[in-house]
Amino acid sequence: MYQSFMILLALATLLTFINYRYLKLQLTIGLMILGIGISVIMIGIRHFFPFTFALIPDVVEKIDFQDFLMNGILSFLLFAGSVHIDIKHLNKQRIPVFVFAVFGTILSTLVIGTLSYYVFGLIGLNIPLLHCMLFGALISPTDPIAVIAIFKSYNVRKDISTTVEGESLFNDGVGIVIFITILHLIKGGSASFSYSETAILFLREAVGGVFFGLLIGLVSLFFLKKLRHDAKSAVMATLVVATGGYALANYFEVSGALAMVAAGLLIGNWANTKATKDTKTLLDGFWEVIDTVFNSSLFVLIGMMVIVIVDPSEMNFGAAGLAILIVLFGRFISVLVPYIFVYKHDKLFPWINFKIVTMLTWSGLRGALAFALALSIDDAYNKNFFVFLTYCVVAFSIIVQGLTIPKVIKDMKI
Amino acid sequence: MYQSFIILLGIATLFTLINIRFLKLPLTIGLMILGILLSGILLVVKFVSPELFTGIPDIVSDIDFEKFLMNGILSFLLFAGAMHIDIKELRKERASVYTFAMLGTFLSTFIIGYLLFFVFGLLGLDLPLLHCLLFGALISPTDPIAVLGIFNKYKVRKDISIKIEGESLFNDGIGIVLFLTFLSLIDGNSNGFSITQTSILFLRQIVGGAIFGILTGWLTVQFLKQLKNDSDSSIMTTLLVATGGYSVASLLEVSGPLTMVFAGLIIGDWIHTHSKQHTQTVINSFWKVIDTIFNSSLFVLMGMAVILINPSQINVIAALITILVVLVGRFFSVAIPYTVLDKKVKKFPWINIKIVTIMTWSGMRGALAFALALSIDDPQFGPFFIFLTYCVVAFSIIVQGLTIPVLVKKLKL
Repeated sequence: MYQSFMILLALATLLTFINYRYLKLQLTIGLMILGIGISVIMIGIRHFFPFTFALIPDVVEKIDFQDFLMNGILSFLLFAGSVHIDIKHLNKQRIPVFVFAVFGTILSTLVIGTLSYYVFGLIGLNIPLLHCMLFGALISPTDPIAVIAIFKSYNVRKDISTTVEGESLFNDGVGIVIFITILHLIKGGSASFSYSETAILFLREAVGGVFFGLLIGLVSLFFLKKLRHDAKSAVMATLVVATGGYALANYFEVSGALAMVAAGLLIGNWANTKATKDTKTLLDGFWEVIDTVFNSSLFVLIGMMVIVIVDPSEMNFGAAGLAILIVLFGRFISVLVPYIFVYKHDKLFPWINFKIVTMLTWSGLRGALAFALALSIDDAYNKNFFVFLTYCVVAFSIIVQGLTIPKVIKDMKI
Repeated sequence: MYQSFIILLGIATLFTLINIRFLKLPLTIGLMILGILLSGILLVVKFVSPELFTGIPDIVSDIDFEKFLMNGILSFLLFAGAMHIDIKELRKERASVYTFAMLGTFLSTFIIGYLLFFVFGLLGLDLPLLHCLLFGALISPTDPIAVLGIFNKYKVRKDISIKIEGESLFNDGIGIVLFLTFLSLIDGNSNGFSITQTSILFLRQIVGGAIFGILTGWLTVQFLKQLKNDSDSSIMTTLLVATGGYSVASLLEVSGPLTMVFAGLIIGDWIHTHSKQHTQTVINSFWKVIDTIFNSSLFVLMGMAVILINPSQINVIAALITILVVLVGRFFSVAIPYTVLDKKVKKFPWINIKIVTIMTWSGMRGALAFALALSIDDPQFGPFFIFLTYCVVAFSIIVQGLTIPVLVKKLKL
């Protein structure tokens, strides 16, 4: 187990180099491609020489992707992501961010869930509606990591990049909460369905998570003010928030993901405005390194996870192609509708700026979270099918969409 | 499992803050005391109302101390330790460091092993000699971390601190190899024992580890030259050495710890002399943070590991005797190499008693000893050794650690 980590870390570092020297792609994309490449080569070698050692399958199996992400590094990634956000810009965009993250995610879940129910029905795959909704929920959160890096290197308009960034941070939490709620519905069966109960569960996780995050954020600010002149202790205090806060949130059954984002924003804002220079530098540097190391490992691991889905009986490329289209369409609608309500300044027909909507649709990449949620589905709820679909959607979005975003940005002159 | 880590990290950081604000002890000591206290409180709470514990994972058993250290963070700790050493100072003390690490660890192992065998025999505790030697091997490596923190805090003379620092880095690897050798002797005891085979095993690990470490270090330096001070890539390279190098060493069956120390020394030296200021700062602070976080977690975990002791094994007299025997063993394993090396002191008792005393008292035992004790897979003696090791480690860190400043002042070093 610990050895598997060492190997993963070493592989991630090595592949980062290879990308840096030879592929020269955006890091996350390069790492994922290399991860897939290595795994495929390994599978090939094992196919022809079964006696060779099973390095990668071993690593993948021992690390337990879902546990690794959900109980391990998700809190660090979300906290690090929100500490770096410029809260002034976010504040200006708070309404779009909120609308996109909450209503966009719900809308996307419903559209993707319903559409895939009908489309899969048409091609003869009978999958219950609720299971399709589960898929809709897990595939809806967009991944901030890949997008932020791409936007940074291409000077996208600040309001758009802030919206996408903020949306990605919040919709992870919202997506998880919707996912848990639907899972609850499936388990409860049709007998005990109650709107009020479902709504309460949802609100408790979502609102409770945000409040809990604000609370621990405020408490830690109280300590951080006392630690003003001790940069190292200040960094440690933020580490307590990212570790202990997440564990406590889980214990109280509120959304840990949302708590991390809320706390991270509060603390990041403090660090940017009131902290001493030393503290700010150390804090930024520390979370930057954590972010880089964990992200590199994560994307290599996602690439390597291709091994998990290589089971020929479960591969249905037709369904995967359809799923990719459905997810893109769902993303389009879930961007379009909030857009009409939020940006009223586009007075000209057709009332919306299609350039921006297209860009937002295309840059909604899916990442590790979607895949981890898919892995957490019970076997009885068509797990293998959805894991395969999710992997295809994630891989398509990161590799194909990710590589073409720069071109889209250039063509549209945003 | 991951949740336990997150919680451990949270506790460790919290305790660090408590120590800085309230206890104001050297960090490692404070953390270990707080860890023991936490375990004690948890035990009491568990006894009073067991239902409070549903939902809280059992961190200590979840993390698996032995694997955590041996397959996980030991490589980082040794690599980071070796990178930070001032190689100029080390070079001045080269002869004594190697002698202390090699000869000293050997001597300490055999003195402690034989003494325990006889003393326990007198007490009526019949332990086989090989098992006593096994214990001698696991308890002999000194822990650099605990000592360094204290020495830095009280500004001990540079030549003494570099001796102990260097010795502690190297004797981890040698102690592990000795331990593995005795372990294979115990296993192979019935099918016949061959001195040549044992020596080959021993030499292969030590010499192989040193050569592989030097090779890795040299290759890395060549690579770093190509990178021309790009600081991110340089950090990544060092990280690759600490993770990949250790794994490859395990595959080659040479000593990973020694590999890390040699590679760390070479790479650290090159970085300190040849790279730009900025690259140097970034690499140093990265490894400093890694070092601090892992060490804090490790010492808290050590404190909490007090619950791994089986209550039926508690034997206060045996523990006291062992602590004494370990101190005696340490004294001779310092005094004898010192007599060989230091020819300046001509008159009786031929040694600088001050320096030997301070080196004896600051030879603390740490996580490695405990992890090795946990790895003994022997239902008969294993739990007893775990208990003894824990007592020695706790005594050395808490009692010796807290009194080193007094000793330094008294001896006017």
